[in-house]
Amino acid sequence: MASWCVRRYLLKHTLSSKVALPVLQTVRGSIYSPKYLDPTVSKEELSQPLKDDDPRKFQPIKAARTEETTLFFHDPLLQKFTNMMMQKGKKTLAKDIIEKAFENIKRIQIENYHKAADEVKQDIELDPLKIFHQAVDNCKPILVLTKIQKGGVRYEVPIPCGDSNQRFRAMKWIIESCRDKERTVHMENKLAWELLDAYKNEGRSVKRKQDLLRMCEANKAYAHYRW
Amino acid sequence: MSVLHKKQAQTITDDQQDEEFRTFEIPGLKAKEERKKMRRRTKKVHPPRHLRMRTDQEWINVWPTASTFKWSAVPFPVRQGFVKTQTENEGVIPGKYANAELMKIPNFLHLTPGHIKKHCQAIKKFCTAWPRGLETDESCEKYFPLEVVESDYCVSGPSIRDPRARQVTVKVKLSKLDLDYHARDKMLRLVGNKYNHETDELTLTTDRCPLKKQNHDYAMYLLTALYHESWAREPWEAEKTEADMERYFWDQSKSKSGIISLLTRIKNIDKTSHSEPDARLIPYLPEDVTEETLLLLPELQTYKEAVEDLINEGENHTTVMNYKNSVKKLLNIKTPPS
Amino acid sequence: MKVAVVLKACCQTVCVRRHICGQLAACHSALQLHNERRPLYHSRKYSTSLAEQFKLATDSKQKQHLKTIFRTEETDPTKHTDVHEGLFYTVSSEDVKRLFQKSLPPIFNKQITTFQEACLMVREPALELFHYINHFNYNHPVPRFMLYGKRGSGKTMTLFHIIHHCAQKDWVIVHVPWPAFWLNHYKEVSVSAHSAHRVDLPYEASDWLQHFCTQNFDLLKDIKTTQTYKWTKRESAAEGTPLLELIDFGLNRVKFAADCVGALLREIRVQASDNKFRVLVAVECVNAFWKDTTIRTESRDFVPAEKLSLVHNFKKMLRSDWTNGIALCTVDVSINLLHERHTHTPHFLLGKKGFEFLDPFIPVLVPEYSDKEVFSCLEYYIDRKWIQNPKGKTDEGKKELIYLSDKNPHALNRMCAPW
Repeated sequence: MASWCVRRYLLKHTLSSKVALPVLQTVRGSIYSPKYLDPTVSKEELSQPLKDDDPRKFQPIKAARTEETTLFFHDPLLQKFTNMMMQKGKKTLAKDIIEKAFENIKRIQIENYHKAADEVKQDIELDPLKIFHQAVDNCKPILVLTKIQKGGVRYEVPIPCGDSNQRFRAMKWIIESCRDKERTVHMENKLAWELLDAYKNEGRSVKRKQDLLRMCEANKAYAHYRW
Repeated sequence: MSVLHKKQAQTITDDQQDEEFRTFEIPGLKAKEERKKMRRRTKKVHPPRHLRMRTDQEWINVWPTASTFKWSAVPFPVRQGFVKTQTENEGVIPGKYANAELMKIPNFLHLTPGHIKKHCQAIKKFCTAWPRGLETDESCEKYFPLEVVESDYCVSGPSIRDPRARQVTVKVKLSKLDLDYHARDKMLRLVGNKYNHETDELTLTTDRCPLKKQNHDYAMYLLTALYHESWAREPWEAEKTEADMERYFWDQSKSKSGIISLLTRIKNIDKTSHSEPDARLIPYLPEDVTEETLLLLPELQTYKEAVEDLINEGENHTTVMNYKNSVKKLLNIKTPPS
Repeated sequence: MKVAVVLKACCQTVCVRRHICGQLAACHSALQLHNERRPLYHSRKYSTSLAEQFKLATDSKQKQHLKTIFRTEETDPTKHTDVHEGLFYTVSSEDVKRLFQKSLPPIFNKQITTFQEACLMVREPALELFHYINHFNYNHPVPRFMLYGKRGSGKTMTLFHIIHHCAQKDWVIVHVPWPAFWLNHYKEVSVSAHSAHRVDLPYEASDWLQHFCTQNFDLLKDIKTTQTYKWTKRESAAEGTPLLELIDFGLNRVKFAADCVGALLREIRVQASDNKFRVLVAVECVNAFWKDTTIRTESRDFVPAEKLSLVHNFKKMLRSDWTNGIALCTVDVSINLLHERHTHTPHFLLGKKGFEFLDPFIPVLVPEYSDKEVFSCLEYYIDRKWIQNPKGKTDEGKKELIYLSDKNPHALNRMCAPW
């Protein structure tokens, strides 16, 4: 009862004030009200003047996160991956590991490039960011299993996986596969090897995706339990 | 019983006098008269005084002494305060009406130029003229280098005494005192943190004696004692080691002996080497190389200054470059053409 | 007239402020031309809007279609001059194996494998030292040169360039790679056989002997000792022993390795003074000689580095009491603890004792990359496929890398590593 009153009070308060305030809403995880827009991170956009009806002229804008930059190597997917890899809030450590892993990937690929024959050279991908993107794509499951209860029995039903869930699962599997490897080997090496394997559709994380898809195939019969 | 009878008798006689029928009043049937609402006597608020003020009025008369800020008597708009959010006072800093912040802070409305002028006019008859020849600060410092700070305190209380009144501070600039290098160094060591390097001022504060006059005499004695002590040379001062040195002196350093032996060796080599072209020998070295002749050389003097600057002033681009150039000149190492 | 005066005043100020308004419109285009002659990434604080700055950058980029040259074909460092400044030259793999193999920084070693070549940049401090080396009177006692600079500014690489230069001239190279390792990364400690109050590090001494042998193998065949060296009652090296034999003895009998080092260095000093050969003494991080080791005495005090026999012997090489050689040192701030890293300048790092020992020396600053050098470096990285991100290869990307690394060579290398 009390919380309902409080909520109502907050709503009333915001409606009466002239400027939209960052009032605590009951939206999970956001301290900003829905009116707040995301900041512009691209340099090209920043260099363009705003149109008269651009919402950025009239609506407040969220503060930029620490990891958001206009630098050429800023990649949102990589930032997400860094955050997922981070433990105990040690962002610098996670960032260092990933940068060293990228360096290792580059070194391995450049070595392979120099060793390869001229015809094969152009097929070797040297950009670690592209390898990372491809690796994550290769680990994305199209279908996932959910538990649906029907007639007292819990069935594992295959359902299509949404974009963000796919991304999450792919990145999580890559990180978990790395952590499962030998303890004495540094994470940057393990991560480099795992990303290169996933890029070539080999390795533990891709295997995990394939196992899941196999399970989905096996439970194909229950697919209609979704509805 | 007798009272009851009396009353009845009284009422009967009243009735007989009235000759009216006493009606029976049913309680609650007739509405009672409305009571008069008791209203508090509200003070009559006059409009604020500043609306009636003329622009050419005498402010001195409006605000003669120091007093709390009165919003109604101050004719100009003024804002004071902090608003944290946009809801507070519509995001606008509060004005002067009932502003506690303005009342809390001291105001100087009793010290306007007009006020000061009037005070000065009043005091003028008790004052003498400012001495001629002391118009500028520099001339004051020149003729009166010693500054004595004494203070009296007056508090409305049961006692006229104040323990702070006996404190005396004496300030003097060390450049005004006649001190040579040793005396100045000794003075600085004796005085410690009572010396301000930025303003070159020595500050001595005393309150060890019960009376102000005594403290003043003590401060003067202290200054005199410091001055004479810093000029005196104790026998144990000769035991000063390199670790006690306040500055780096090249003359007393290992660098000097090293350089002299190096240059002596170079001269000997140059004397014996005949095949080398003259440009490669060190040209400025004199024929007889001894400590005295070497120390006279300008190249060595530049080098000495460069080393002393490097260590005493600290290393920055200039001092390191000077050191580099002086060593190159000393050892005849030529600069590449840029 | 008014505009011309304003134009001149504007051009003379270091931080140019441009006010885009009617009166100074003429100024605007003239200044644009003036500033375009200077490299792109100089921070120009004149524009008020980001939009304008980017427009300028893209406009000027379109005008400049020049190809950046970053390599030179001249692989002989004795022939490097101002013309080659800012360019990379390739060190042949034989020279790398001979001169540098064990002593290169690990990051550079990895880079040689990745880039499939060892390239050093020809920089101004090295050229300055070449001039000194070419014009010095070698009859005079050994001069001391000190390379100093911020961490990661290229002191070690400059030192290697100079070692390569002297090796081409068939000088004997006495190179001490990183004596700071002797302070705490020692395998074994023993009391010196030669003098009881000094401490030996036998394995470190034998490692150095191996390194010296590899660097100077061809020259050592001809050099023989000038006096007898007695190791024990029975073992000694007679007069006329080739130095290679001395080194072999030191490598086999690790117990006497430190004494071998001392004998070897003495021979080199004596014979160089006799004009048999020229010597380059190259010591990296020489300020380690005046630090404390982590070896403890019986009274639980730390043994100072000066008590190490290795350090004692190498310090003799740095004294100006022999001729026909050059002593080149580096001072590094990285061996100091974090709270002792105020400056990178020589006197602070050497301390009082070190400065008194080495004075007078000639300090040579190794600065961060200049404009020309930093672009050359970036082009080299792009050529070697080190910068992979397509945006990183553009002018904008290069500007960002330069800004982030502040033109520090090491920082630039690390910035480019993941992308």
